[in-house]
Amino acid sequence: MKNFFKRSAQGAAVPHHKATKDISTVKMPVPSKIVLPMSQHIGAPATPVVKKGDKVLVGSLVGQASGFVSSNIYSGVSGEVVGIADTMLPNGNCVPTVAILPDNEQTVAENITPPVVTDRESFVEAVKQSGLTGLGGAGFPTFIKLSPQNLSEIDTLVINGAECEPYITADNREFLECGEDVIAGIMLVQKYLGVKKAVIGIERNKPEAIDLMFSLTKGDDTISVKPLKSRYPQGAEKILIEKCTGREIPKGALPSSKGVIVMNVATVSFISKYLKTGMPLTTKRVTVDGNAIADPKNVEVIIGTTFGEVIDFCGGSTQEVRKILSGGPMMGVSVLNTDFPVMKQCNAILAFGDDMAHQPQKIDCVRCGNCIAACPMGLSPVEIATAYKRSDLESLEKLNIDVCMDCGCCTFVCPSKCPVSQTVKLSKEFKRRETQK
Amino acid sequence: MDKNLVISPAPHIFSTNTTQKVMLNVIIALLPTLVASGIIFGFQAIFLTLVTVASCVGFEHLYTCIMKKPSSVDDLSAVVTGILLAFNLPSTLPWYMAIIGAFVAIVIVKMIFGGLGYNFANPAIVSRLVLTVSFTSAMTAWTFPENGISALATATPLGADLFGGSQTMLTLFLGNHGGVLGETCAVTLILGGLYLIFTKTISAIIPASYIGTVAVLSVLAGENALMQVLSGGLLLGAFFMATDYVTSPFTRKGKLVFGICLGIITCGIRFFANSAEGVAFSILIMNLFVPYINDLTRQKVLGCKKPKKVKKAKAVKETVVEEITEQTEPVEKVNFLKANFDTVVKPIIVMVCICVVISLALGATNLVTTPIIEETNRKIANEGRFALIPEAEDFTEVTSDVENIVDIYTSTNEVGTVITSIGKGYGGPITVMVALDNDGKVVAVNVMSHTETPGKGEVIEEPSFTDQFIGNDNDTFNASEIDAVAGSTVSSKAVISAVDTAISAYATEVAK
Repeated sequence: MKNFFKRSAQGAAVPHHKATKDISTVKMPVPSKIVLPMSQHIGAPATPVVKKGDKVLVGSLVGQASGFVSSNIYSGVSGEVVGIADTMLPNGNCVPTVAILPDNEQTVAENITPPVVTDRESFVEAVKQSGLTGLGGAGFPTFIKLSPQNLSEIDTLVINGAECEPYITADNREFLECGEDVIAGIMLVQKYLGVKKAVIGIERNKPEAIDLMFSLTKGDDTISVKPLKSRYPQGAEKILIEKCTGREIPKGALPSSKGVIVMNVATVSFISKYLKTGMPLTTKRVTVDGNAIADPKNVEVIIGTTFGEVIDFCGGSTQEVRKILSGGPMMGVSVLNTDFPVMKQCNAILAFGDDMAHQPQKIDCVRCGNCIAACPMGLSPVEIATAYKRSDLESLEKLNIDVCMDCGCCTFVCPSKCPVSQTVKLSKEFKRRETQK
Repeated sequence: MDKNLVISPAPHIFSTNTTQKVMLNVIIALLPTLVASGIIFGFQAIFLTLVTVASCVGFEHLYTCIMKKPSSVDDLSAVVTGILLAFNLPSTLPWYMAIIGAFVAIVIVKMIFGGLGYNFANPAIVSRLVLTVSFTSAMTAWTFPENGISALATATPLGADLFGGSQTMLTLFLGNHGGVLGETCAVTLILGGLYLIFTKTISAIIPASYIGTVAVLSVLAGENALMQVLSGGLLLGAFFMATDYVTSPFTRKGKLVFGICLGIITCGIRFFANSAEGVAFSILIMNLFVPYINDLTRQKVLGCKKPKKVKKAKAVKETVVEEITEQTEPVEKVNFLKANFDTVVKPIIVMVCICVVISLALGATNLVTTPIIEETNRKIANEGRFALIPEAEDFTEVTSDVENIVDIYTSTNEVGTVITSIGKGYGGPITVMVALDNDGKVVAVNVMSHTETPGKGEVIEEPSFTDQFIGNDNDTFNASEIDAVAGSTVSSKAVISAVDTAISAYATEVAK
């Protein structure tokens, strides 16, 4: 109530469509080929360390991290490298991509042994070697997150289990199928980084996951479970921190500046699994859904499998597919073709028929202010859009456009169907270019 | 298959809410009130609504056709404007005036400024005010409800209050009293408003803060708060006009400020200006402030501090300016005028010149026309006097300062005196010309001008009423012996008091 007049930040009442939340994850067999783009994370692309004709095993290093913000990429199959070529990612960047033809033996590389972890340095090094990046969707290399400058000030670990995007249920399945690993992972991070508190934020539309986490954390007063309102975007980093800890992360700053580290539930769970087995990140749980998918479910996929094969594994399509998304419908990207591979940060493959593929017809803005009420960050999208139309750099600066995280709430709620968040995205790009001049 | 894939930026799903649905919700919320006005004012009310809706939609379509723009009538906003406009009109308004109103609302206020989303003020409000200014008598002829009985029902409750009339709260709730089409029935207005709030079409902040402010200020001013809230179009304005998306602020803070300011202005107009247009004017005034309110009441962005450095920067600037001016003061001044001659000095000079020329032209016109106008007015008045006393050759004025007496003229050949006096009616003062013979006896009474309700107030002009005064002088006149016209008690009483004033003025001013 204190914030009632400060910022309405209602978010968007998106439909949930969590049809796959009660279906157990199915492991997909080895595909006919895997394709590994060298950029599956935020930061510098990895450098391929294999060449055409090389034999690789499950867990073999394929791409070596280059630069500080980067991540290793491993093969999830045993087989032969059949080619390295540049391919275009949906964001328009071209990166070297390693294609591997599996031999279906799935021979595991001999160097796969549980890492020896004794202190923080060895823990972070192990995470670095695992090739782990944020599995929630952003793909930020995890080991960097685990080495903040102000380690002593970090007192809270926030676990993101909000999963606010429609359709996606991969995190829900992670809770239900690997609940113990989630808790173990949280405890490992707490132990090696010396973080006192941990908060698991879960949206209320996942009651089973909330119940399970409550029962697993019973008796441990350092880990608490925070049920969140089912309203997009509860899982956005800054919003989640505000809801779970009450802290506001300043503009342009990282969560660590306020003593918080945020990790996705699948990310912490993987840390625990990796310390047990030593198998780097080569598979990913992906929700396959959408109105064109015959048999929607969660699938554990070897990273690099093409979308087409995953969709075929889920019974193929029931109607002509007109749009395929990597990620949820609010922030996911539409892919160019079905040869696009599952990457580390991909948590859903959604295929839609013609009825869902198109942007609705736009009419004039009625200045209803719905976008302002919805913006979780408290921005004024309609004013940003008008400032952008008149190329008003000063106003754009005053309206704090850099804070926008492209959650898409403004476009979703617009009754006139104006592409508001797209315009805000354009204005951010405009501002970036103008200030570079 | 791949070739058919649609590539588009996120988000890929959209809410089912559309502008059309929003407008439809408003129309649904307005329907009960429309039905109520049909019951209270009869078919005329429905007819007028149909006229305004049809002409609003028609004008919008016509405009888009002429301007070669895609037709925008299917967003239903013109229908909403049409209904709201009709709700702001008295049911007796001639249909052609309603069409003029629709033209003002749609073409002038909305379409010329760029259509839906760009109008600077609420089209229905501006149109109401334009019509009020242009056709004052037709617009303030607040209609007598068909099944009403009391003569008081001819005035709006707020108007009646000025004359000490009383109105039961039940009448106010049900709307069985005078007023424009849509403002009378409080029950249906509240019902419609609640529907809009619960369907989240509008935010409750504006109506709540607006009505709340009016209620609080009424209590502070010693007025009947419930009466102030339920009457005079406040509910219609608060729920349907002030909440118009285009012309209300964006944020909760802004809406609160907007509502409170509306309440203050409305109360100011009602308590101090005696105008029935308090709600309409306050909404228009606040509409114009919306851009500034938006600018000042922006939300606090998560993780961003409010820019408070402005003050500091200003202070720094000032010191810098001081330093510069100290060093090179005379040069700076000359340079400023020279450098800004075209942008600052020249426009000022030109504007001042234009103002002076226009003022002089107006003054000159006034100088020339004033005697002519006065002469004409005197002639018209004299004609009235000759009609009452045909034997008179000419009239000379007798100066007097008796209250409610406009003027006193006696005939030069001493056949009688004509006194013009004023009595207070509903629609304003009623001017009455009373002719008296040399004995001070009333010879004739002529009700000259009044703005009483058409169809009701006119009976006070009938000879059956005015002839009752003839033959009375100051000694024999007894106001209680004159029969008031049934259904026009207040208007009749106004005439009686005017005649009474005239008779007694004769005794004090002329007979002595």
